[in-house]
Amino acid sequence: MAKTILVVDDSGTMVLSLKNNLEIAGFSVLTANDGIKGLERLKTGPKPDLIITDINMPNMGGIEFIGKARATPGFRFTPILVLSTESQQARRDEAKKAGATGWMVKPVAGADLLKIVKQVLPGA
Amino acid sequence: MRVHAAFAGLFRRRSRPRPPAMPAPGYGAAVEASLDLDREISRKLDEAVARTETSALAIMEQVRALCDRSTELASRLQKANNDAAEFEQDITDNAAALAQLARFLECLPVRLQRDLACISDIAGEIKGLSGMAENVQAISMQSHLLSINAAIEASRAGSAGHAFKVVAAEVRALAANSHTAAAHIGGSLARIRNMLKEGLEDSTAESADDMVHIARVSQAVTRLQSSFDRACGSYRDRLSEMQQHGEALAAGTVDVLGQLQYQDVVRQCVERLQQAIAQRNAAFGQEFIGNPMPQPEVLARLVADITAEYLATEKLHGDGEQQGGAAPAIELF
Repeated sequence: MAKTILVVDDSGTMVLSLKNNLEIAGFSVLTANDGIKGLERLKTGPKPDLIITDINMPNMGGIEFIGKARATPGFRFTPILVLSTESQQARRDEAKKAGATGWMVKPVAGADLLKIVKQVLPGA
Repeated sequence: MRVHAAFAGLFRRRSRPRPPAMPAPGYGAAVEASLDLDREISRKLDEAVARTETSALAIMEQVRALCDRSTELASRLQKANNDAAEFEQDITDNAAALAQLARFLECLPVRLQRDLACISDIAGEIKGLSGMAENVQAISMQSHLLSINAAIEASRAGSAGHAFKVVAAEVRALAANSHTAAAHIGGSLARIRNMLKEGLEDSTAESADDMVHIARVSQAVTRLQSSFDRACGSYRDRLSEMQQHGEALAAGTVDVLGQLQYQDVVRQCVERLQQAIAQRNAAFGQEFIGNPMPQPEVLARLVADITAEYLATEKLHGDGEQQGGAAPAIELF
């Protein structure tokens, strides 16, 4: 059974890039274009095994989304990776405090993305 | 959020007491024209970003379609390879059966010779029996002659030889019957010998023809198997090459998809640039448009602040490559 990954990003380019990369590698991919839609995805439909989220998004940003996802039943230990153009340590600390598992700076090479995904998803 | 903070800073700075300055009539129109230009540039930048996004999405769709086709092709080739492997196994099994038949046929002449020798021995025995039948016929003939002589002598003896004459007649009849039976036996044995002889000749000829025919079939199958082995080897090589190309294509696709993320990076960079320009334009507008007492030195400080803030914001955004002393591009907490 393919592992499911939720991609949350307001950029259509990013969503399609990640979706294609992950699907070619054999993952099943869900998408949402902001934090609110991301939370809806967590409450309905298949349960993702991993979440990849942007930080700067309209309606609900990534940091708030991570905090609310962690408070959602069943997602306390689900790996959450941040993928953002931002790279400063303060923002990383903020994300870590909210419950993020790791941080990636855009753009991330396809091979690097799959490497880190397999690292946080044992057996993938 | 950063735009609002910048504007708040701008207004805080504007609330400070302004030093006296000379009015600058005419500047307002010039600044307004410049701001119009900036707005047009900003709109064009928006259009350019939208176009690059549309193109990036189209490229990704097409690259994905290529990758999917390659995967489908590889899948079909793999299926064809499996079918060929099954076919090869069938041919191998059939060739093995033919080889077994060929080995049997190789031994067949020896067996035939042995059987022929056996039949020849039987024919010799039959020939011996024929000789015995001839002897029986000769004995019958002698018995016949003897019975005739006995009848003659019985006639000479008159009534005393009457009984002997009856015996002589019976012996003559027995001799005739024996002769007839021996002749039948001899004829039957001759026919059996002829049949054996003809059968042996036919079997020898037919087995030789069969041997030639089967040897040809065996050679043809061996050649077929050899050709098929070569074809399979070539096919496997092509399949391996196709799989390598497919893997390279998939890796290339992943790289292309990763590189296309730069469109989003550039989009955000343009957005930050537009925000900085918007802040600068707001400052210019406030200072020069409708303001009878513009203060260029205040405006210069404001623009310097906006520039510093813009550069500071840019520093916070990485380009995906680790810079000296900066946090790593990928980090697990």
